[in-house]
Amino acid sequence: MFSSFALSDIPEADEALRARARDLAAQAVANMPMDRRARSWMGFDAEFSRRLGHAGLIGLTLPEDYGGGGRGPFARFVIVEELLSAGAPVAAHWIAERQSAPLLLKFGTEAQRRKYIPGICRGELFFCIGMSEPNAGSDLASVRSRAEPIGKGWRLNGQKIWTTNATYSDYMIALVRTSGTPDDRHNGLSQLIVDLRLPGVVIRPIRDLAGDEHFAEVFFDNVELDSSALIGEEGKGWQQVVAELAFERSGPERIYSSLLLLDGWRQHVRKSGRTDEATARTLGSLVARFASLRAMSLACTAQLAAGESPVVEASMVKDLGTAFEQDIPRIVGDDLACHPEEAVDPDLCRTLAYIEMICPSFSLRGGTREILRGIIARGMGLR
Amino acid sequence: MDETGLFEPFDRMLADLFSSATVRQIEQGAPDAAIWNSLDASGFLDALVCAARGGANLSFAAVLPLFLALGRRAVPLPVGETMIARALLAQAGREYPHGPILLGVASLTLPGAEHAESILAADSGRLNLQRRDGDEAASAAIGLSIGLSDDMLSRKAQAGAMEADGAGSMAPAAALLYAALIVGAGEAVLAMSVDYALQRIQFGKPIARQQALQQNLAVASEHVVAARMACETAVRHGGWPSPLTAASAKLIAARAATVVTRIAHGLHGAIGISGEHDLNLFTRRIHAWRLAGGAENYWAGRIGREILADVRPTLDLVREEMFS
Repeated sequence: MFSSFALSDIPEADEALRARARDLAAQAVANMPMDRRARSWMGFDAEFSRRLGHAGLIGLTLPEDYGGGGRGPFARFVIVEELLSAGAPVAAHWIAERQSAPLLLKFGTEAQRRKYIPGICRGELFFCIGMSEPNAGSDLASVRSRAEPIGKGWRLNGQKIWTTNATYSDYMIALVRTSGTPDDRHNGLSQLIVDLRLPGVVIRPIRDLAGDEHFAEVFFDNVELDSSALIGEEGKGWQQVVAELAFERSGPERIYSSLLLLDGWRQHVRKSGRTDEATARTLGSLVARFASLRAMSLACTAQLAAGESPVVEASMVKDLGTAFEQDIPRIVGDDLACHPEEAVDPDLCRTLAYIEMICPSFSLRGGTREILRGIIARGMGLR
Repeated sequence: MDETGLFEPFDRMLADLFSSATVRQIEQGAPDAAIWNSLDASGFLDALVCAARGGANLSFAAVLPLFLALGRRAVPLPVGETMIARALLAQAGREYPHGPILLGVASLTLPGAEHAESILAADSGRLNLQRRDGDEAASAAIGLSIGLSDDMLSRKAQAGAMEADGAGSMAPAAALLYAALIVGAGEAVLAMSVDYALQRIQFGKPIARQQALQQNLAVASEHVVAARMACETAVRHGGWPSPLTAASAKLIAARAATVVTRIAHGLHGAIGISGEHDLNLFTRRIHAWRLAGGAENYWAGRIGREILADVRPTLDLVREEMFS
């Protein structure tokens, strides 16, 4: 079962990019407290994204002709691993690079590629993804935002919600209905590029339980788009979205969200001079799990590099990876609570509190556990 | 995965030698000597033996698919153990017998002990091959306590090149073997579970259509795949598994063991509890292999003690010690 899913090495040329990414990440987080770094791919810093882009570290998987690095998915794996483990604020360019640019490359017109991809690679054009709506979460096929064909373009009405980074983004790639009705399910949905500065677009940030405003509601009131807004084929948006999700679900970002907390806890344990067996077991188990997940993510990356779309395997990485991310605050909290005699750095306490609060989102964003397991079950032939 | 082309013939041989009826017969008493003779004559038992001693000199990466096949076929004899023991003995310039050899690692239980002719122990850093008598062999299943290496990290550099007498290489190799056996058997259990779920009708439809069941099987398969990846990590540099990667593989496989057996039995219902159903040929072995040579906490403690004082960030530690 899943026997083509096999561990692969990172090519040396890609591994060689590590040092540059590490230096830039280290500079960006130099004076940042741990709980800010823990926000990582929720941390918005346009200036840092620009620096990364100009250093050639954004869009490594994209062709050089469009301003990319002309490398493969392993190059991106190395960069992502370094940025996330340092807790660098990568939110600004994150979605544009991970999903929007590869999507445009695969399904977009030549004009669309030329217009958007170079800016994304420079770390200057920021995208968000408009999928969820008030009544369409996991059930994406029931989206109700609708674009009517008018003359040479579209008139868009409707609403998106929980859109990550909408407030700071230049464009949204929105999944909307362009034909048929919600009863047609996956047919009749299309992906449109929406310039968020257009008249009729209203963005309202939503405050999360930790006090941050990374996601937002986005309203469309008779927003007029020209015909170049359509990505790929009218009515085939669903198939395009599915292909895109393998990029979203397989990467280190599904494993590393709590790694700073693990590093912080390890530092605490060392400072406290612990040598007991319970601490050793806790640490050993987490490190072994981390290693096995990294191997799985590398195996997914190898499939992406081979031009495959590892939808099922990526779902496995994300389901197990986010369980690991969510176990870290539980286990670290339990351990620290076992040692009330130890002084805990307030920075570590704040990070623990933040991760514990926000970690339920790890297994929501990019597809819930239940949806992912359904995809895996289909891959096993159960449905 | 099978770059050597050895998997096919090996697996075919196992399928011929170890039908479920034969596995049950072996469990009931002494195996037919012809079975072991066939294994011995096949040359596969010398897969890891160096070329100078007439072996195939295969790497652990090449042998991993064979270990997985042993689990997938619920092989009740210590075949993988004998492969490792022969390699260790050959490397140390020692002769080895034709019969089944157990690996004498510190363990609550040593699966296959009742069928082993001899046991390879490492006494104070020296390999010691002891012949076992019939009655005595059964007691080898418990209480074997042989010292393990204390220094896992510094030994990474030596992984790939065994020490002169090979004694310190035994525990990691055994851990990797047991992990691979769990993964192989786990894959068989997953396949049986999918088949059964598609056939079994309840509430007027195959139980495979129940979302609760789908979700559980998805989780079981994730754990088995994670354990296979941990095994692949341990063999990826081509040499013998390093202590840290082997420990990690056994830990992840031991976690998977309980997940996959619980879910598979839950799905099979009462029929899976019946002795005559084949599910238990696999699940009983998975439990034994989980305990053999230490389960989750044993290896978690071993890894943890080794890295407690390490100041490197977790990513660097894991990259440098387990992926380089």
